[in-house]
Amino acid sequence: MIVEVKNLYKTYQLGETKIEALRGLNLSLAAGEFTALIGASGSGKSTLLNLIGCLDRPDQGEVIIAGQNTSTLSEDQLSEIRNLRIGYIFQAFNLVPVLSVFENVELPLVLRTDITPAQRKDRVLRALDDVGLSAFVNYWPNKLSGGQRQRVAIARALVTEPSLILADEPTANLDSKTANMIIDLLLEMNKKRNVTFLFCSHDEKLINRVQKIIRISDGKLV
Amino acid sequence: MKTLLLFLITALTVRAENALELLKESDRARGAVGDGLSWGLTIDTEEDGEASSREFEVKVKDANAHIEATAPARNKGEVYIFNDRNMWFYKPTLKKPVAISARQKLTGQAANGDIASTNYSRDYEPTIEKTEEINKEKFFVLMLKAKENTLTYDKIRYWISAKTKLAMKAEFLNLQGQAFKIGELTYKNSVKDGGKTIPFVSELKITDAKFPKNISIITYKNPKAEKVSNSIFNVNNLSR
Amino acid sequence: MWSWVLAYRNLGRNKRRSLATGLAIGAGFVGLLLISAYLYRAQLALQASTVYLNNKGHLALFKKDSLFEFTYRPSRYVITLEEQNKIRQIIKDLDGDIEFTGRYLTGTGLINYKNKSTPFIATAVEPDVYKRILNHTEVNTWTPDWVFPEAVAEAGRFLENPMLVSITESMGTLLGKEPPFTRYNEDERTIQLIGKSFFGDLNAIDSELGLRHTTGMALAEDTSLLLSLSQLQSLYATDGIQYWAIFLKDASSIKRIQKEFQERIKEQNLNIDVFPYYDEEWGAYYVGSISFLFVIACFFVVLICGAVVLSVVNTTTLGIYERYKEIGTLRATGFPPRAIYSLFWKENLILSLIALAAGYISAEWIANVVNAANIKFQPPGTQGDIRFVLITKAQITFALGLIVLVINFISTIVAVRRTTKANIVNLLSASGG
Repeated sequence: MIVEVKNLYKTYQLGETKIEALRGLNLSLAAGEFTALIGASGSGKSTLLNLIGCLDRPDQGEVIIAGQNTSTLSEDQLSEIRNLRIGYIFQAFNLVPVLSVFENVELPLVLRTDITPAQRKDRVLRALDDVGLSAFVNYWPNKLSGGQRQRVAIARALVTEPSLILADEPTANLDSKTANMIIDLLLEMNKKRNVTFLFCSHDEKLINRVQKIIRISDGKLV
Repeated sequence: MKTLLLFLITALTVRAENALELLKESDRARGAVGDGLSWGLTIDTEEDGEASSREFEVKVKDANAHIEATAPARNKGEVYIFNDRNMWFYKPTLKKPVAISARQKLTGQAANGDIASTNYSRDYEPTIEKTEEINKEKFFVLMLKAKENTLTYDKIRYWISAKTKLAMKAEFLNLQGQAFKIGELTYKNSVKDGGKTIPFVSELKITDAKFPKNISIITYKNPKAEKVSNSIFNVNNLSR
Repeated sequence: MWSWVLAYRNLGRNKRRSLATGLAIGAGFVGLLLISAYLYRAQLALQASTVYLNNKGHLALFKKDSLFEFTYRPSRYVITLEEQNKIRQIIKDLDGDIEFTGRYLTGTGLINYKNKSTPFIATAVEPDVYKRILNHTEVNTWTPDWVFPEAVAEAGRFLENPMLVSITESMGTLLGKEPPFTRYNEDERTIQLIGKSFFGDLNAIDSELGLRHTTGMALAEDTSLLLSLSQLQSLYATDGIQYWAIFLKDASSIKRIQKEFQERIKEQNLNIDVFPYYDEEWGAYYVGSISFLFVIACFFVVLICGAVVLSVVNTTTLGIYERYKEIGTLRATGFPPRAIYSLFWKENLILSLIALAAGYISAEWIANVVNAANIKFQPPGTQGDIRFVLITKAQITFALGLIVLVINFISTIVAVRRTTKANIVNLLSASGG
């Protein structure tokens, strides 16, 4: 299993109100799965995605990524897990505006000491080739369209060769045609690189094309 | 009322005149006499545990004094001249005499003004403060206030014997009226003045009021009336 | 390298803010440099004036307790001829480190011309030492305002005529004499010095008005008298001296030479103390002035550094706020907190280095303009005007630059610290940026 979630609890304090986002949730994802996480707004899907992505810590329960229990890890070790094992695709692309397309994709690799600069360059170019942006290597993000930006974000998620890619509403900011192209690309990458994909989405186009759908309601799987 | 006021003024004037008379009398025994007088003078000083001694020959006439150092050898030839209230210092290595202040310290407790004759009745304004009895002897205690600020002391409290009219004690006061030096006088010498033998000061012991171990004793020796030439008091004669 | 590139490019994201921060850092650095330039000059001027013009030497040898007791009992605390001979031998042994030495005697008395007299506080110098001091490079470099050109030109006259005295203009006025004294005939130049000899006797000597000097201190200007050692010795009837000043070739070796003197003095069984010019008791004016300057400088440095710190913290905080989402993204892609710190301090380092370079150029330019303007002023407590001179020094500039960098670094860490501890989800969902 790439992801194992056991008895996960997460509560948020909103003013004086306690919101129980997750209530003893269990989940497993196998390698190469292309899965959508769906549910009503406030059902806890983003919370679950964040906990699996090691962006937040659960109040209770365990998140095991590629066999490693993340609940006991330090901040630096979590950073390492995020860098080595997980790729993230955001709804708003989250590209760094002062870095070129190449540099944005290169970003997760700059901390890696086990990769030479030549290998790094090779990986970046390969990732950009995979997403069809070889011609835009030296472009600045503000010169790209929404779809191109999301493809840069996908390349950035792929460049570390992670075992898991998490995507939070990856097509929400795109028009229908571009969204379809991105979905095609994600499916292609899933097949080509055998990467596990977990989406959080309301987009029917995407949901219709995934292998597995996980529905979440009131902090529990349905 | 007028009579009472007149009486009071008269009484005060008489008292002041008495004070002046007393002072004049006491001055006679301290050199203020005749046409000329000379004496030898030794100042023995004990200051901060160190002893020193100096000797002088003094010649006085009227308001003038000529004092020449005779010992120790290093001071030999030094001359102090009093012209009225002005004082000069001269030594052979100087081109001209130097004007000095009577207040300046000469040696030990003795100021320059202490070595000449005393003419307090001319220089100070006397008033009788009180009378005091010491060893069954009555003393007038006079307060002397300097007529000019160039004089040796600003104020002196002066004990004059009612019987002998000799000054026996002096407190030299600062501007705040505190005694900084105390003088005690002895009269074992005598000198002839107009055919009459009068007592003459033989010792003036000056003690530091704050540090009583610092003492200077001025001893007066062989006082005698003699004719003194006016030329020795002329400072111009001292120039090289 | 990537982080330097990112840091540099980030500076260009909000040019106006970066410019404002850069200006704050640069202006702060200019302020620090100018204060240091003034202090450096003031310190060296004070040092030169204390060591040379005030005849304190780098080191001074005194009879034990003489510093306080000499005035009251000079005969007891004078360094006798016999002791001087022993000291002379020690000086000979340490000749390699000593530039020259001077024997000094100080004392009080009255200076008299005809019926005018005024008190003096005399410093008696050896004529050759006097000449040497007035022509010394340190004096010419740091305290030219406190030495009259004619005093330098006529510095050798004490050698020709040891009977001469040098007085201040104020003292001349009190005696009814105006410099130059050569306008008077010999008789009119003749004055007398009156004092109490070390035997406790009144003494007087003839002297001649020859030179004028200034003390640089209003307090001392009415009473200062300079004369040859032999003259004052004659007035006080002594062959002793009050102290022996040692002028070193290298001022940085003071402590070592002081120790060597102390050891040799002990060997010779001499009852002598060795004081450096910066001793609180011997160099009270120097120590007091330096302390005062130091306190004033600290006050301004704290103000300037405070302004720089606030400016950097403010700008960095705003920058961080605007880039919450970006920081969140970096954290999500695996950047640990230290990498975020590194990114921001590198940004500030680049900005600081540019600002420091600009600040340095500005400060040098201002210093040159000020120096060329020949501005004169009278500092409180000093006599006469002195030139307002600013002198920067590479080591001080470097040290101050380092201080600015360190406070910038600390300010950045303070500003970034909260962000690195923030929840990544909160950073990603922030509205800023």
